[in-house]
Amino acid sequence: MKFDAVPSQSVMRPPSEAERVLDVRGLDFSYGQNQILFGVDLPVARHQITAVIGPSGCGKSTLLRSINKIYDIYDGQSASGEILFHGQNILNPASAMGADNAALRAKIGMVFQRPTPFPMSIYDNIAFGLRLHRNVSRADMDDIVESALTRAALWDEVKDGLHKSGLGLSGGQQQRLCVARAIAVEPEVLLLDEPASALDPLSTAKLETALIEMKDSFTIVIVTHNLQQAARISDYTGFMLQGRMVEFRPSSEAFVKPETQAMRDYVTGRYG
Amino acid sequence: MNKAARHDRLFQRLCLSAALLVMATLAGLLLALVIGGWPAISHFGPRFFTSAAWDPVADNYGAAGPLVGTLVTALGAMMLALPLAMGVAVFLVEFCPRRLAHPLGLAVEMLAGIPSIVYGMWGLFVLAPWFALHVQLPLLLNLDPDTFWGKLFNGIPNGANIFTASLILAVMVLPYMATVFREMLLTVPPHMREAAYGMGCTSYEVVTYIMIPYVRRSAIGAVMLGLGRALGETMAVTFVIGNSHAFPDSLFASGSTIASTIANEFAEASSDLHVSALMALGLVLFCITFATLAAARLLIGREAS
Repeated sequence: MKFDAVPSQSVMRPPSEAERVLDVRGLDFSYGQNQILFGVDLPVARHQITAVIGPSGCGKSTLLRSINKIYDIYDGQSASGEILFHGQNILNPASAMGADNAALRAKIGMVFQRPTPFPMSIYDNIAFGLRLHRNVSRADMDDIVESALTRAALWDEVKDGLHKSGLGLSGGQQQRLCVARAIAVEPEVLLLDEPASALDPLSTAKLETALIEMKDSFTIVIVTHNLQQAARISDYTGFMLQGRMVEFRPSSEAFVKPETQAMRDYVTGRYG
Repeated sequence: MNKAARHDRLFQRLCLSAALLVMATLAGLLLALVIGGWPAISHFGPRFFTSAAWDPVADNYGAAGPLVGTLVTALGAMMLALPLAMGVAVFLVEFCPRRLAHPLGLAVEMLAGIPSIVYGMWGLFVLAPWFALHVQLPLLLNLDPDTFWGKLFNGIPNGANIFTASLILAVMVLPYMATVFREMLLTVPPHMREAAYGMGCTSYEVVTYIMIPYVRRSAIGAVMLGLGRALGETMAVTFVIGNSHAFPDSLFASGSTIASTIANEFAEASSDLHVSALMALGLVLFCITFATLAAARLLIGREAS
């Protein structure tokens, strides 16, 4: 069996509506004429980690890029359907959430696959995002920078060189810096697009520990191609194939006994 | 040695001699300027650079007027062109709809290809009269000549002055700088832009705090390249600067640049000292331009990566 078959089954065991902070419903997405997502649902429970897994090209990154509308900076990419956040469809430009992308992205932060420290000091990388959205006194800023770096499990490694360039850190440190930068503005939801794919195992472990500890403060959606990672840290797991959500269930069940043939094949490695 | 290898060595030598020829030309040019200019420089000493007396009748030459005129017009042009060029480049990269970006980029590049004599004619026949009537005259009539502003904008209202020369130069270097800036902004990695937008930056913030700092060094280099062009530009400036050798005492005073002085006087230079003084001017321009371009080369493409 190959990936080119359009999955026929779909199993959804979502969290209750009351638990959801973010709710993707029937999302279609196109790059120009090329449709990538077909009616995707993704219910995201508050203060839980939701993992999205699936083979390369299944549309999982595109799903994530729709949620904070980063696709909107490019011509020719369009999303339709519903992404409900606080009861408003952010895809509708007439809603308060949909009208102001900058404000939306402050509430729904994103960490990308490649570490993206800005060309400035470690301190300023974190202070930068904060200054965009509010006035912070110097003393408060020091506290926030320390707290963000601590929560991202990076503080001990960089506390003596906060004013060195962020570009001088190792890949794993840069990625944790990006996490710290994203959480410093206190978003409600944190999106992570394969954040560990460029990291060594030790850095990955540090990042995962940090994510689990951050659950108390943030709702996390993580896209990963690493099944063990999804199983280790997530509460809910969605499996995507061919631009469709095939199976969505609590992670505790999903990896033990997948119900669809497609997910069974994927988690047992039969897709190679 | 077989035929192919001999052939290849001949080819290498040909290329080498082409490269050596260029170096020899440069060295010869420099040598000619030094030899030609030396009599004037040794005759007048340091006074050649500090005195503004340029008097072919008395055979007395001081280069301060053209020297300052060159620097002021070129720097003024950069100050006018820099924000505009950056604006054009940012628009093309960040805001322009994709199907407009290409024709617009082409138009900007075509602007850079207009011969400087055309700019000069436009400057003399269109810009200068308009400027005299609508800018210089009202300022002259309304400003108290004893105040700072009055002194800054003092001058004969004929539109041929340091400022209009800067303006023409700005128009000439603008497309060139805009093109270079655009190419630099395109080198900012897409993931950097996405990360900035992704944390809630507006376009203004992405451009100002992320993209421009990212290309800062190269951008300074591009400014220097533009400056190099502005310093040596001859025809357009000669048309509109007024060609007075006096030390320019206001923004609207007639003046001259090194290039315009040489262009105006070489055919009529009769005494040996006059020719030598012009050669010395050429040497000075050569050194300034060379230093500027060398600095630009050092900066461009040296982004911290």
